[in-house]
Amino acid sequence: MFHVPTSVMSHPKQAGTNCLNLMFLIFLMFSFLFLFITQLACAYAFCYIILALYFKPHFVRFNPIYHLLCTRPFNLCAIIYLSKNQNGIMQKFILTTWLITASIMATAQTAYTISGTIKSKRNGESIIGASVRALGQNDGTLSNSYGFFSLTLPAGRVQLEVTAIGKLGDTIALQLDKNLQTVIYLQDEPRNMQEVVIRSSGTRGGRSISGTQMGVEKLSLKEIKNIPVLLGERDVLKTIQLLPGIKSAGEGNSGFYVRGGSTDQNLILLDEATVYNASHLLGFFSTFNSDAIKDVTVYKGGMPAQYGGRLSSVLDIKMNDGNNQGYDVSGGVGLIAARLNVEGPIQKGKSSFLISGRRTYADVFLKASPDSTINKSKLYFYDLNAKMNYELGKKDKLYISGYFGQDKLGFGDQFGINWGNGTGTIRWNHVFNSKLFANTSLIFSNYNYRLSLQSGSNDFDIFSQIQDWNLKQDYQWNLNAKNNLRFGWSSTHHTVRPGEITASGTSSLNNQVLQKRYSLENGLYVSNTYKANIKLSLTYGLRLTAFSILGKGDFYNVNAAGQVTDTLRYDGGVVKTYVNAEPRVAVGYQFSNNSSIKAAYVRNVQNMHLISNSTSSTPTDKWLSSTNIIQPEISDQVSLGYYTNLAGGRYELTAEAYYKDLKNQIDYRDGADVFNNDAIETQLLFGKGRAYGLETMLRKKTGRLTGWLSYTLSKTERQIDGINNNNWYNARQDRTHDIAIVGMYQINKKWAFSANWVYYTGDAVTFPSGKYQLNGQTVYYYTERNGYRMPAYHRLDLGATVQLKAKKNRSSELAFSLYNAYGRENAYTITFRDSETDPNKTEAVQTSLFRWIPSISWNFKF
Amino acid sequence: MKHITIIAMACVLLTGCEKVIEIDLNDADKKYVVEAFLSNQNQGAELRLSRTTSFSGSNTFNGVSGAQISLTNNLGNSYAFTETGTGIYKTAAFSGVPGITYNIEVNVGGQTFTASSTMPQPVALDSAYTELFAAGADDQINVVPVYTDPAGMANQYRFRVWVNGVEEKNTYAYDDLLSDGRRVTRPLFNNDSDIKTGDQVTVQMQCIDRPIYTYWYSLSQQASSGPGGGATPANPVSNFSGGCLGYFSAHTVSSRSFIVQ
Repeated sequence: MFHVPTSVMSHPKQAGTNCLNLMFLIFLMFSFLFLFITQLACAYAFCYIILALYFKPHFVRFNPIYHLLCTRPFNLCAIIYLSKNQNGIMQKFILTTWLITASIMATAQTAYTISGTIKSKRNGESIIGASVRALGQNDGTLSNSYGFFSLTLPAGRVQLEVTAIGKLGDTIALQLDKNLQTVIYLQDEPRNMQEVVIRSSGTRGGRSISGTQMGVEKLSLKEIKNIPVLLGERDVLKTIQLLPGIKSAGEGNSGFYVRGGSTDQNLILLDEATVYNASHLLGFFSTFNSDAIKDVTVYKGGMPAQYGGRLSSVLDIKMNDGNNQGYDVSGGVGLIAARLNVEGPIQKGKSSFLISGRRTYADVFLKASPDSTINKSKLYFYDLNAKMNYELGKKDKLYISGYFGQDKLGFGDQFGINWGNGTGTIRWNHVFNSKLFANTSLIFSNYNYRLSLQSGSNDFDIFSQIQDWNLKQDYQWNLNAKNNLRFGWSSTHHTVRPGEITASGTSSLNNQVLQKRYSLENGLYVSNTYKANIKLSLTYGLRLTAFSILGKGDFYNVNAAGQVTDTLRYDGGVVKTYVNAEPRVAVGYQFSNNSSIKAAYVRNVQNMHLISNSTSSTPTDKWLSSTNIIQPEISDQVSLGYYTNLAGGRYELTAEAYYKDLKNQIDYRDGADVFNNDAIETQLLFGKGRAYGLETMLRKKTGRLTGWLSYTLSKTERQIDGINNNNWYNARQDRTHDIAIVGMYQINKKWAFSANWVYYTGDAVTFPSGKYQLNGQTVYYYTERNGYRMPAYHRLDLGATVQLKAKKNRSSELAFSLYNAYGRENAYTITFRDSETDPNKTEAVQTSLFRWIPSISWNFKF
Repeated sequence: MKHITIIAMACVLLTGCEKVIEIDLNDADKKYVVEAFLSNQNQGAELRLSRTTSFSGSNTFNGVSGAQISLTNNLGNSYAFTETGTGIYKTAAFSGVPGITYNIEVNVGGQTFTASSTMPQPVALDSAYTELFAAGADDQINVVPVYTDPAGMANQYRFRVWVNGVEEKNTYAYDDLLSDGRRVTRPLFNNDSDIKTGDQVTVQMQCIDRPIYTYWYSLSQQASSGPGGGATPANPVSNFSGGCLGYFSAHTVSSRSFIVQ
């Protein structure tokens, strides 16, 4: 598929072929490099673990990276004392000081700061991650998630180059003789990309090269809109699965695994609010309506210090602010859902609102069924996003955003299950001065489900809920030309209601309420990005988290056999506090404008755990907070990456290797009874894990044909006493090879085509290695956990978009897609049973789901 | 939950398809399987000893002869077994007594397997009937056993169902964590055979101890493996020590038979 570009590039064919050869050579070299890099990573990890074990109290000081930090002029001294209390378990970390001894060395030259906001000219939306760069000085910065930037430069004549994905770049000439504040507007990129100018600076989409941030993936909305997906329902979560290191949790599933972690180890944020269950209809669709989304960023490693709470990744999704220039109505009608989006100004140019809704209508077809059970069934979901922003003054801006989504699933009168998320965020931006930007957020998040059953005289429902209140502040301080400081705090109160049964008098069940669990999660972080010189930059920081389990309630001591030995009763107060220090360090070295190398170490701690033993996303999966027995999960990750632009910036090649060490991983005991058990600890086992791999991606960034080729080689394992004879075993999501090829081709103004092909090694699964007869039934005999593989998975999807005739401000398009174009029967499940033709034999049965799923949808805007 | 998942999938996945495939499965070392039980019904104790076979082998009981078995209880009684067929061992008739703990030891091929089981207090099966579960084209008739769970104590139950004398291939194990002291009418969802009007149905309720409940419960989970189903499959949790598969259960029995109307 990637051979096509040569004929359409502006360069002659010859050059293109050479370029491809070069790329393949580099690809090959990286494969060899992999062994070396993993060994290096292993060695580092090994040293790290030894250090951690033997010098734990002084660990921070022994860390070589710490030494590096201390020799810097900007000094962050985190002195951490560890002491053990009488129970010998609780470690008290006291962050006594963090001294900014920074001789804030005024640079020899006089310097001034230019700050402001970058916005879209068309609709006034602030632009996230736009690059602001001083030409000829190689000094630059990126706009933050509110479009704000602050850049300190030597006085004098300055040429600022401003670029952003999907926008035409702009260059602004300024006389910098005092601190300046400005608003910069960028034009949309024209739809027809024929005349795209390739910029020499390498900033255009070249996010990977500069700075220290690694393990990050960004998708533009244009990519999300063009890549074909199941049933034509554009989906952020499914599109990111085409990126290296991010793996699908199964056919058509919006769940994903990042670098060997499980699905609950992803922190999914919508306008800063945690979304606990990001899936609709058992995971076939995600809760994110792509009409309302502005920006999607995934961190797979090297997470910045302001993020915490999950081990594997951060998926940070930002909603659109709404058009503050004029009213927009857009929407679409697809095979399974219809969408409508309305936005407009409250005060022109200053404030705006947005309301976006989506509902599926598959249930309408059910109603047409003559079968009374089926036509009484329910099967739909809806989403509602709303947001408004308001300028309080020159320096203050208020954002209010909310999301509400619900699934309703019912079968006749007999079963029903409803579940949904609701989130609300109020944010207040305040610009203290041209160097200091602050944001205060109050966030609410709710997830609940209700399952009801009616069968004969049995009539009951089960309710479960998780609710968060979160208050936090984030400060971004452009200290001087070399130092950018970010610090803040966060405090979250969790309430978990694990299960409540309400039953009628004739029912077989009692009314029952499992204990509510309360906890308080506090975080304090600081990090500094230090630009040593044009080539070297360094980000170092620390996140300190304290997770307090609050009474009241019964807590248990559990022995190795999973029996409760002791019940501890608390009427209130703090049951236990887990304090963890999470260092975050990253270094980037840029060889030239076109290539760089980066390394990072990050520790993440997770105190909210999803207890699930099923691979599909069922709404009844249980969220639990840490308890006296369930300890915080901890991950330490080291990663190393190489980034380069090729062919004058038309291509970008990235390669990252990582090693991750996991502690306090959770799994079920064999035969665990998962349903409604107060002492859930009796059903769980705890152990450790490791994951390592190499991720490579070659991306074509410009021209009529864009897209990427990604390849991931990886391994992820667990070792939990009580499972697999205490031996290491493959985690279910362990897949050796993972390939994705994505291509988008703009033929002319009217037509655009896209295709993607994925291939991955089958999941690690447990199959029987024998059988026996028990009471006349065949029972299977299992010898090892996840010792087998599902068949390899591969699939091709095709898509096409045609622009219909546009009139004045109205435009509309038709989008076609074909999922699984060559009809591969990918195994969704493999089960075993007595043969239907010969009951004396057993057979394996493969169930596959989607083949040749076509779809058509119509999208409009006016 | 499993049913909802299946139903939802059936609705969503119009094009799902099922086919028999060939999988190359390992041949594990043969392992002993012990199935031993006694009840309060004056039928003595029975023990079936077999070995596992490869997945591609036939579904036949692979009996093992020549085992030395000892069965005792905590009152000091012991019961002798005689082999009545290949791998089938029986004692003379006796009735187990609720509240008494029985210990069994099996010696075979140089290995020793031991287990103990305490017979719980009996709970009577009051009655049984069938109930229609309307599922459109897949309407299903399920047996509903009716009993009253004794309040204030932990009880575990296992059910067996025969239709016209043939036992259904389903495993039902329930405890009273959520239904302590209730009159229970929980339908036994039938995935095996179709029950029709006029069929002769027999349902047997066993009161079992906690380890045996765990055994049957974990066995029932084996059946629902895979995405959308349940847990990673594993061997049922045996109450035997010594490294064999299977169980030893001392249980009480209460049965009802009726014709489906």
